[in-house]
Amino acid sequence: MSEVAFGEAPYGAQQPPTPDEFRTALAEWFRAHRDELSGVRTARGAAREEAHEVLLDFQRRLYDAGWTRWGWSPDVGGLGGSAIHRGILYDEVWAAGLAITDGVFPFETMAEMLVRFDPELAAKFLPAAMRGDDFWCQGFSEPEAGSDLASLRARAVADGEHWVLSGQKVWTSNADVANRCFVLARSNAGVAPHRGLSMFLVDLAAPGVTVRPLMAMTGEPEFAEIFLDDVRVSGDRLIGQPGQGWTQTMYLLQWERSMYGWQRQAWLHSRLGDLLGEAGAADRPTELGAAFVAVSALRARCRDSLRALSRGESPGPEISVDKILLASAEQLVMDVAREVLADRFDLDDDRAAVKWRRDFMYSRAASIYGGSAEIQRSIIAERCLDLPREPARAG
Amino acid sequence: MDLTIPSEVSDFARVAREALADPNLARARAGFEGDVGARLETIRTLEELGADELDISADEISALAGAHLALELGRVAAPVPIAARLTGLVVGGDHLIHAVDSTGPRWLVDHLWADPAPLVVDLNGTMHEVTVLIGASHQRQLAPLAGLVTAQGAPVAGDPTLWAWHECFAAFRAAGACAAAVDLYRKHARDRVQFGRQLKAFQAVQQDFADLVVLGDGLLGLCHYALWLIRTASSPRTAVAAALAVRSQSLEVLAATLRRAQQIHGATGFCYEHPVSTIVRSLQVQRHVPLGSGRTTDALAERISELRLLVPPDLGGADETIPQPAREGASR
Repeated sequence: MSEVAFGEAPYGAQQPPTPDEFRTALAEWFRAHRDELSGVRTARGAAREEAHEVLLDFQRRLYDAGWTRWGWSPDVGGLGGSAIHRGILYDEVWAAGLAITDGVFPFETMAEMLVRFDPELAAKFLPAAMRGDDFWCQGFSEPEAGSDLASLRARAVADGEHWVLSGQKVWTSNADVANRCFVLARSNAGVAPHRGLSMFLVDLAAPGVTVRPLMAMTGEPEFAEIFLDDVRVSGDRLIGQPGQGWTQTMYLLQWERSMYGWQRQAWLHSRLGDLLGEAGAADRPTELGAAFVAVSALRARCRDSLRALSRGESPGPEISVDKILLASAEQLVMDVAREVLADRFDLDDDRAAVKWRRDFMYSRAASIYGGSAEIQRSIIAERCLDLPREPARAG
Repeated sequence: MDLTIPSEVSDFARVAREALADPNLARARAGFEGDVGARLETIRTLEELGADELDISADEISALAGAHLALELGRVAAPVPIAARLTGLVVGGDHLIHAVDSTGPRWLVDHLWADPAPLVVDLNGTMHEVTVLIGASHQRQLAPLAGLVTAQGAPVAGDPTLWAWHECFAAFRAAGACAAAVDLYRKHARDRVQFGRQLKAFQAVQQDFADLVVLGDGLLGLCHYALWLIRTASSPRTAVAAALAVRSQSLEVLAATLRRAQQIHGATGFCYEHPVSTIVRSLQVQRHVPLGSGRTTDALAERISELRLLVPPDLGGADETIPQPAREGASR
């Protein structure tokens, strides 16, 4: 499978395939390799641990065939094109009944930020992450700094050509399988809280790093605590400049809320398709219709945001609308799934039922991760609608 | 209907609450999906409380005591079939009696235990002995204690009021779970500081909390009203209508309360061992068994004429003067 899609003239960075050409060719490639990809279809319904290696292998095949390289500049190991190509990839993966590793979520969130703020680091690290040889995670939240990220306490102290990191991160998704972490830490305590933050690319195998998985309601270790005990990080692992951490975070959140929303809508469409094949679907036309409307609205919204980002524009605080739509759609689809599957949802032990239960439980977190629903509403109210901030009360 | 809780009942509930608050029991309950011990310990606690000696159908005090026991068990997300157990006590206690939706040949039951032998009853009062098709499995998420049963032998003539009793006790259990979730909400809003303020200082949180308290109080009041109606109903149809009404309300309140209680805790509330996560997981089956919210309201709509607003008898007593409205043209 080591062909490079559109690897011959006239295609290249100066003339990437059009979205239609890309979509058509990718769908055809999936059809042509259908038998070889049967394991990926099976992994789609498997538990996290079982699916992990299969999906990583699939990601490598996609990379080696060139598909995941479209949408990235040749400077960082890509073949050209824009985020639109990547969006089409995620659409077609799920439409083909396949799945993709969870590693693409933090990759899509962090990679664009890395390209923008530190092209050298991007050139060095994007190819491996694109291929699935590296698995990234985000070390942002802390026990006392969830919604209020600017108040985080992890410290980064300059020491010659190194930085020394210490502190604790929590709720880091997939840290148990990741090998690199983007850590947000306080590098200057003498300025306003959000101005004193810097971001580092840390190897999770480095001395002083301890990862402790946390069991979620799904019954799987969806996230983890990360303890940093005087971890020495080379100066070239500082992303951009000291003090840019907050700006970098605000930039990557746009990608998290739009591209992740896009990836998720593609997945939700495929899950709705799975649901329509269930025996109880005929009894729930209204509920399924409502779920379809919600997912369609999410797709329309995320498509517009993705287009804006791919043109180099910034959707700004309005991206919070995407996040709210995502949480609502995901929870609605899973609520409807429980109604449709009925007894099967509770009792069956086949892969499909187990997956539905897991997805249902995970959907309860959709209004929490990536900025809670309450935070998104505050952003919309204060920054989009220009409504006054709630005054702090005396005493 | 008198809403004052008799002291015998409140004392009994207080003793039950203290017994169920044992830390070891609480720790076991956090992982109830995989811990048979949590069930057995809770059953031992119930036996020590004399739960099986409640003569539910005999008098109001026993019925209220049973209901408040269900409330306390709901408060701690105890993995026991309390509604089925109490319903069984209505007719002597030899069986657990589960309410089911008898549409179709197989019926989902929450907390399927083999001892005492379970019976099932549907909305029409038809009762069955059952054969277990799929039993409890501690390897299953969400509904490890649920099971699938089918009728064994010919139906036994029963009483629809038993279905009503079961659902009323289940509603009390839900009310207890909601009360616990609201307590967790209150504590977290007090203890968690973000953006330099306790969460409880934010007006949105205050209004949210107020909504939850109103919902919880309303549900508890409706639970007591339903219990009284079921006990005093002149016909089984009235009893079933009351049960459907309280079930419908309990489902709405559960949905709103559990979602908000989990939401305010953020990722912490999503952790497997967190109490709010335990409560949410323990109620998943009850929220759609025996009937989901849509079918509950449909069934209620068919029976709504059975429920008439009853004026409490504490107004209009013999020595109370009812003011007469002034008539037009009367001398000023």
